This record gives sequence, C-alpha cells and structure tokens, in this order.
Amino acid sequence: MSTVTHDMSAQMYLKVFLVLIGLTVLTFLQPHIISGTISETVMIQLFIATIKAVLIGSYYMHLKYEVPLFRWLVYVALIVLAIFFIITASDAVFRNETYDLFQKIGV
Amino acid sequence: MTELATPELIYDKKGKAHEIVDFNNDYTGSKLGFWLFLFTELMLFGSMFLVFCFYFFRHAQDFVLASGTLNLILGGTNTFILLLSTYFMGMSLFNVKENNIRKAKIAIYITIALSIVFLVIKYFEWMAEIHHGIYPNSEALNALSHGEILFFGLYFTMTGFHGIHILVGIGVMIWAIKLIESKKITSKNYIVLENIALYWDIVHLVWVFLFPLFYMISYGGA
Repeated sequence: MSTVTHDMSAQMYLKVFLVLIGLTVLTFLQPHIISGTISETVMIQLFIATIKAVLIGSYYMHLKYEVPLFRWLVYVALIVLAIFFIITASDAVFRNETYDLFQKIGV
Repeated sequence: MTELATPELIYDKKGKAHEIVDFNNDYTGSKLGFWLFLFTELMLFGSMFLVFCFYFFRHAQDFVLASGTLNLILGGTNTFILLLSTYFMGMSLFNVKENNIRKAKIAIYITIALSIVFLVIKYFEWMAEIHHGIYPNSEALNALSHGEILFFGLYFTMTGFHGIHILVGIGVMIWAIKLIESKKITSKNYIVLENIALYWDIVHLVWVFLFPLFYMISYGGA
C-alpha cells in the first residue's frame, strides 16, 4: 500500500511531540517574556496556537502525507470559516459606532 | 463462479488499469467520509469561537477580568495531559501499522487513562467555580457585569462541549480495543483506528485554541 511507504515514523511522532511541548511552554512563558496590551497578548497567543495547529494537522493528522484532495478540502473548510469570521468582524467593529474602531482597539 | 475470480477493472485518464475493490474495504473513502465529519466539528466549535471573539472584542476588559479568576494551574496541566494523550494515540496507530498489537493496546489504555485524568481535573475546576457561586444563571454570576456573564456562559458551554467530546473519545477508544481484540483492526485494516486518532487530534486542536483564549488573556493589559 502506498500509504505505508510515506508515513510517520515513531521518531517523527516524538520530534513533533517535543516541538509541541516547547510551544506549550512558550504559551505559559509569553506573559513573562513580553508583557503587552490585550490585543498584543491575544495575537501572540493565537500565533503560537496556529503554529501548533499546523503541526498537529500536518503530522499527527497526516495531511502532509495525504493526496492533495485532503489538503484542498481542509483549505476550503478553513476559508469558509474565515469568511464567517471576516464578515462578523466587520459587524463587531462597526456596529452602532461606525468610526469608533481605534478607541476600541486601544482598550 | 469464474466471473468472481476475474478482477473488475477501471481505467484512469492515462489508460492505467485499477482493480475495483470491495466497498467495505475502501480505505480512502472511509477516511474522506471521516474528514467530512471533522469539518462539521470545525463548524460547531468554529461558530462558538466566533461568538467568543465577537463578545471578547466588545467586552475586552470584562473578559480579561473574568479570565483572571480561572485556575491557570489546572487548565495548564490539562493542556499538557491532552498533548501527551494525542502522542500516545498516534503511537497506538503507528504500532498497529507495525503489527505491534500489544504495544498499540497499551498506548490506547494510556490515552484512556489520560483522558479520565483530564475529566477529573475539569471536574475539580468546574466545582471550584460552582462553589464560588459561578454557574449559568446563578445569582452571583448575574450580579457581575454583562461581559463577565458572557465569558462564563461561553466558558461552561465550550469546555462542556469539549468535555462531551472527551467522553465520546473514551467510548470509541474502548470500542477500538474491542475491535483489536476481535481482529477487526489489524496491521492491514486499521482505518477505524486511524479515524479515531483523527478525532482525538481535533479534540486536541480545539483545546489548543480554547486554552489561550480562556486562560491566558488575563495577562493582557496588566
């Protein structure tokens, strides 16, 4: 079977696991390294979470080793979700107070 | 019958012949179907994260305040436990493929044990909140600001849904052990275990985003 030849080795599972542990530790240490505003903290935290998610998707969920069909399906699903977020974000920002964007971010 | 012995063939665009396999043994189809289910999970949790982000934007200070009351040690411990459990779930799949059935079963048992520890910690966390009078529609909660009520509502809903997924995960892992014992999951036919591992990874993925948004935001603006 072609799936057996291109697959995760036990070593690879361990390597990805160690990187994920490192990133999780970074999640905890982040406030002590960079003490930022709410939006900075959230952005850094979500950036680390996204790296973790890509690693989990690529290696633990084998997307790196799948035929392109699977990857494209995931991209489409994520784009659909992103559209929901973008449309709702414009609502969250402009609702009732059209030009109040910067005051809100500065909270 | 001689007809059955002859493989049925189908030809791709390059004229290469492929044997049509039994539908019950459609490896790629089974995985594809399961991925479609995972997308429904993505939308389920994705929409809850959407609601969270909307209200977080509108009540940032209240969310930070409420987040500060959560127990970071318990939540953080659970983050590591879940990460460790996905590693063992991956190792069980790896060992089944390598035909190390005993090792695979041990890995699944470890995953189940870690999931139970996760739920026990979650139980103590929830109980601590409830002892403080914080639970949906409680008097103490309703006395708080609008943003804090929303934060705790989302906290109980999202970690609750996540907990239900952990419970279902434990159920399907026990099922996987039964299938391994009855030789229905083997080194040649492991799609059920592979799909369970995918499910467990998505449960972990939800927590990867859930943890920073609920527990770590309290450090912002300090």
